[in-house]
Amino acid sequence: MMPTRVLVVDDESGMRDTLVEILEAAGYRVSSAGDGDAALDRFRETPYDVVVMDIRMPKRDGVSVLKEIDGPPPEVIMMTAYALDEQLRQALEARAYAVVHKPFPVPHMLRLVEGAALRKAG
Amino acid sequence: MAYTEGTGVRGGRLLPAVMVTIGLLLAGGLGLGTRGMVQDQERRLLHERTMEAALAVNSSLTSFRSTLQSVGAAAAVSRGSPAVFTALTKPMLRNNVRQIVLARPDGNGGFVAVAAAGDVKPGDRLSDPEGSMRKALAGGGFVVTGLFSDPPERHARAVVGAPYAPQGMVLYEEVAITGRVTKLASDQPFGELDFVVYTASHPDASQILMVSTTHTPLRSHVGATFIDVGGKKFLMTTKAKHPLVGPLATDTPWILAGVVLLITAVVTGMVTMFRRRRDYAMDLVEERTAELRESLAELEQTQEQLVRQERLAAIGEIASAVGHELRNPLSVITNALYLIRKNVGDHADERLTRNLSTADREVAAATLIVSDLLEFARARMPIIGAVDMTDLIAESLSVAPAPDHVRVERQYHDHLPDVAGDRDQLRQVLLNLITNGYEAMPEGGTLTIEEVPLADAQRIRVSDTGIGMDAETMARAFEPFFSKKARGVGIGLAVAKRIVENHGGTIEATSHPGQGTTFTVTLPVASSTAEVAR
Repeated sequence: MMPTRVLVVDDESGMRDTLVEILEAAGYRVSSAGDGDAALDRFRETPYDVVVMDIRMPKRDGVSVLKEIDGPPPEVIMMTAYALDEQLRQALEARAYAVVHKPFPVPHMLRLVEGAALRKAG
Repeated sequence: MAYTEGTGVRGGRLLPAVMVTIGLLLAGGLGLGTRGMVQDQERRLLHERTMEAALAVNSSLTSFRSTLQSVGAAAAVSRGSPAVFTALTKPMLRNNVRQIVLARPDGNGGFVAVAAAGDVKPGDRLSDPEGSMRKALAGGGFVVTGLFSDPPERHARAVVGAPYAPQGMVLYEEVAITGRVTKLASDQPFGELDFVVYTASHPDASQILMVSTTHTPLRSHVGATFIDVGGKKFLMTTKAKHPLVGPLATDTPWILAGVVLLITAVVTGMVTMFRRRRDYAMDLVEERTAELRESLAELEQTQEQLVRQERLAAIGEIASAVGHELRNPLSVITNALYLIRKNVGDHADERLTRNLSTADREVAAATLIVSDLLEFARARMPIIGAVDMTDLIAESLSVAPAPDHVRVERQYHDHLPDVAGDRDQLRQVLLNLITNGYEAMPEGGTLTIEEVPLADAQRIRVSDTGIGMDAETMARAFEPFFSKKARGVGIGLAVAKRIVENHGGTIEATSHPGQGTTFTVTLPVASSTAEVAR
C-alpha cells in the first residue's frame, strides 16, 4: 500500500520544517512548499492525498490555492494564526476538511491528518 | 409637563396668606373703626334726644307746679276760705286726682283744714312718712314724693308751702299713678324713642311714673338723665327704637369691611393666578434645564464611552497584531518540544522530563494569554462541531501538564456523548480553568476534573483545593481585567464565560476561602444531525 502523501504549505520555515519532520516521523510521505504558487506547482507535478496549509500567506492565500487545485481534490487541513471569521467561513465553504488554530497540540494535528487520509482513501 | 398644585406653587402659599391676613385686618379695623364712629354718633344723638325729652317732661312738671303754686297763693290771699279753695281747685279735678286739701302739718303728718276733693273731711289725719308737708311748710316751696302703694293703686303727692299757701298750712295734692304704657307713634314727638321716667334716681320698677314700653328696665345703648322736680331727682332713661343715625350709617362698617374683603379676594386671586403662571413657567424652565443637563451628562458619558471604546479598540488592534505574530513562533516551539520529547523517547531522565513539562506548561500559558487577548479583542463566533470532552480534557492536560506539587484526578463515564462546540475555543476554556486551578494551589493540592452527563447536556466540574476566593472576589471573578493573581491580565475567566455563553452553555463558580474553588461548565450535547467537521 502506497504511503499517504502529504503536502505542507507554510511561509514560516520553522513551522514548515517541524511539521514536515513530525509527519514524516508519523510515517507519511511529506513534501513542502513555501507559498501558494509553489504549492500549485507541486500539485501539477504530483497529486497529494492530504494538504496541511496555512490560510494566510504572501502572494496567494490558502483559500484561493484550495480553489485552484486541479485534478483529484485532496483533503485539506487549514491552519491559521489570525484568520478572520470571513476567511474561516470561506475555507469551510471550499470544502476544507478542518480548520485548526495555531498553536495546536501536535497529537491533535496527527489525528486530523489521519482522519483526512482515511476519508481520502475512501 | 404634569403640573400639580402641590408641586407647582413654590412658596406661593405665603403671599396669599399674608394678603388675606392683611385684608382681614384691614376690613376688621376699618369695620370696627367705622362702627365705633357710628356708635359714637348714635350715642350723641340719643343723648341729645334724651335731653330734649327730659326738657319736655320737665316742662310738663313745671306747669303742674305752677298751677299748684297759683292755687295755693290764691288760697293764701283768701286766708284759707273753703269756698274760694273749692272754686280754685275745680279746674284741677281729674280722674286720677284722689285728694286736694289744705292741710296743717304737725310733726309726722298733718290734719285736713279744707278738703276740695277726696274722701276726707276737715280734721282728718294725713300720714306723711317722707315729711313732705313739713319740708314744704319750712319753705321748701314745692315738694313731691315718690310713688307709694295705696292698694289697689300707687299714689304720688305734691305739696306746696309758704308763700303759696295760707299761713301755717300747705296745699296738698295726691294723685293715682296708673303706670300704664303710653306708646308713642313714630310720627309723634319722640316717637322714635322708648322711655321710662322714674320718680327716683335709680331704675326702680315700683317708681315708674311714665313709660312707653313694656320692656323695662331699658338695656343696651340706653340714654339717661335726671330731672329735678320739687327737690327730688327723677331718672329718665331712653332707648332708640331704630338707629337714630339711619340704617345706611349703621350698615356702613359692614359695607366697608365687605368691600375691603372683596378687593382682597380679587387681588389675592389675581396675585395667586399670576404666581401660579410664573411658577408653572419656572417649573417648565427647571424641567427643561434638568433635561438639558441630563442630555449633556449623557452626551459626556457617551463621548467618554466612545473615547474609551476607541482606546480599547486601539489596544485591541495592537494586542491582536502582537498576538498573531506570537502564534507562529509559539507553534514552532510547540512542535519543536514535541520532536525533542519524541526523539529523546525513553532515554529522557527525570530532570529532562520535568524540564520538558515545564516548557510545555509555559508555552501553554503563553499560548493561552495570546488566545485570550485575541478572543477578548475580537470575539470569534464558534465553529460548531462534535467535541469529545473526555479526549479534549486529556489533550488540555497534555498541553498544560500539572506542576509536580499538584495531583490531577479525573472522574468520567464511558461513552459520554459529544458536545456541540468549537474544539479550539473549548480547549481554551479548559486551559483557563486548569491553569487557574494550578495557580490557586501554590503549596500543592488536588485538581479534580469531573464529567457529569445530563439529559441534553454535559457538565464539567473543575475543582481545586487551593486558596479559594472571598465573596467580593467571587462576585467579580468573571469581570475583565479583575485579577488578584500576580500573573496574567485578568481576562481568562471573562473570555471563558463569553465562549461558553456563545455555545449556549453556562459557567458558574463556587468558592470558600482556604477550601478551594469549583467551576462548573454546562454545555449542550451534539444532536445526531449536528455537523461533524473534524
